[in-house]
Amino acid sequence: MGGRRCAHTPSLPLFEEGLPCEGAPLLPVREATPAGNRRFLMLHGPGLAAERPAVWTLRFSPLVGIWRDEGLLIETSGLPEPEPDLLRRILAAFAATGHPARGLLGAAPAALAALLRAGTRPHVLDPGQEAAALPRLPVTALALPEEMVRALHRLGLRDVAALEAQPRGPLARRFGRVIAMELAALRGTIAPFTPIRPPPRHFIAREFLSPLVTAPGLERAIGMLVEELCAGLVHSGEGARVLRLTAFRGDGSWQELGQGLGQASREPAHLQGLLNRRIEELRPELGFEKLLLAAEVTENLSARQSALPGEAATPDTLAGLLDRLGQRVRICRLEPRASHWPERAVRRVSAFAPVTESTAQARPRPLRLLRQPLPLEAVALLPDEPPSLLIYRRHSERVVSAEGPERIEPEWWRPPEHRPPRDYYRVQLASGARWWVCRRGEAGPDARWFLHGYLA
Amino acid sequence: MTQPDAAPLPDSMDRDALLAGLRARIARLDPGLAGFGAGRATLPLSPELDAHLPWNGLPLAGLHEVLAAEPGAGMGFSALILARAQAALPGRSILWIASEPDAYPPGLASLGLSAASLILVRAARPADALWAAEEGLRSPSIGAALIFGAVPDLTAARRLQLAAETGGGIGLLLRSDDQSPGPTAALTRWRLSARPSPEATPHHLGEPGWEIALLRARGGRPGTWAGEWNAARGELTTLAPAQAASIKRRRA
Repeated sequence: MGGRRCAHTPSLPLFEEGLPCEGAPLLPVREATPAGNRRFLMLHGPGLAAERPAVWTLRFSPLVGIWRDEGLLIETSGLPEPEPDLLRRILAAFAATGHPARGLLGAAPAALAALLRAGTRPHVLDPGQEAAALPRLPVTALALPEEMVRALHRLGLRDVAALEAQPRGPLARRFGRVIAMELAALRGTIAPFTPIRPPPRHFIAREFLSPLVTAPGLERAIGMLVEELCAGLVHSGEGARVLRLTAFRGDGSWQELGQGLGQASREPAHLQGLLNRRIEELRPELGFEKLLLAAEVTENLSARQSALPGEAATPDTLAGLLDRLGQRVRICRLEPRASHWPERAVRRVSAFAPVTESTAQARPRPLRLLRQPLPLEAVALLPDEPPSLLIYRRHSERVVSAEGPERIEPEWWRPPEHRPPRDYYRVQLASGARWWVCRRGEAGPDARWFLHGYLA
Repeated sequence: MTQPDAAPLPDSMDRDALLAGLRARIARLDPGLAGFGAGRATLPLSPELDAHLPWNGLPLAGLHEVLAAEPGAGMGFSALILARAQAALPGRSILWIASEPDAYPPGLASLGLSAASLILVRAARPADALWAAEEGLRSPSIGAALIFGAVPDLTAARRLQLAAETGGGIGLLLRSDDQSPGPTAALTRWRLSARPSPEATPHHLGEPGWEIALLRARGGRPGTWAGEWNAARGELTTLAPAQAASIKRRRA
């Protein structure tokens, strides 16, 4: 039964089992704060606690919050950069925008805010330093009402060490919950934090030992990310509508590619095809060290079998095709609209929008409606008769037959006011061509003629 | 010496089977070559045109070229083909590719073309238009692609033809007649000019009339017809020009 004796006991952590031999170097274990290994950057500065700076700060981390009308809180857990570099980069970026800020990077947001209020220089605090700095903090630096601070001073409680030495129960009875909450927050036991934007639920990040420079290398890397992302999307029954690929370069800069999809999809081949076609927009220079792919907007997508076993290719759907086309050309559909005014009878809508059938027109309409009507000169026997001769670019065309006029009045409820009405004629020229021409304004010397469309 | 390896001439029944097998094999090897005659999906135009064309109709999975001597007539004939493709391939969409797509659904509806599956593609450069057409034609979700104004060279046209064979839709190149039409990889080339309707009066236009000229068809003969679109019945009536002339004389 040797096997049983050697069995791993699940209740014990790995390093307490006396593995290989005594004194062997163990894996470095990071000391956990009560709130876990979360790391925060607190920024204080004039005018920082507002929506606009917070959104701007999203470029550094997906989790940014506004902290108590006095600063910005950025969660930096898991960001790839070393913390001192990150702090330096963020502070430099804020200084460059004309909003100088002071920042502290540490574990407990409330402690960081209190230390900043006490005037600590910007730097990175490891958990030990943070714990050591807290007891010497004066109570004036805490987020407490002024009269409470004065009351504490009267009692001789001037710093956090003195406060923490007091039994919590009487303290809370005397000063209320605020002080208990603040003391707990200082030690990171509670960290109330609401990011301004919900972080993307689906994202995959991957770091690469050798920087990615070439397009084939990037394609393969994106392929891996897309596979993982799609697996996550399948698991949660969602499809991506907006993808964002962030590529971090070795020199600390980064580039972003946003790609929208007309219909939610989690088809790896499709998503990868869309991203691959945009690789040329990325400028790797010395190479990308990290890629982060996030599905920023997702929609519920019911499970669908992509292909029967044995069928190799997944069918190319219309939505996929339109996504591909939309990357290079503009696509749209035409939706009918209840209007007699010719230009307003159809409306351009998204190519992904469902379009209703256009109702049959009582009167013949042209197949093409020229976006810029061509100015004509017309000769008519009498001012309000159909034209007998149309001149376009000094080229005269004799009118053989004409139907009309069909008067179309402008829609008075829409600006601009006092537009002249139009009289439309369907004319057939001697050559057999059929035009849809209109006279703008009342018949007379001021009337102007246009060719507005070609009839079949 | 006898030739033991030489296959003996098969009798007639075997020969038919052998030829059918070879045809099927060629069809598998090159879908574009297959179907001189029956066996290829086509669109009906009009009884006379269908009988004249070697495929008994306008073949799908192919590229066709329409030269418009007059914009309305060329667009009318193209829209008719698009409408027929829409009817023959339900569930597929129609691409309308132009630098400034100005399709007008209220008018197109008179030719039977519905806007519900019409997608306009605005491609500023001809290269973009041809790319979009090729992508679209290769996809099985597109029934027809109208390329308006962009003139592909022989290689690009061949690519479009291959894409149409892959996707099974129909590609239409609509261009004005003023450029000299060079060689083409399209299956057919038509020229459409306007033709005054015989029953036109000064106050009545009559039905749309076209002069339909088939300039070339792969494996077929050219021809000219006088066509008239009957919107009420939704069909194209065509007459050979000689017939049309005699009717005109009789009326006169």
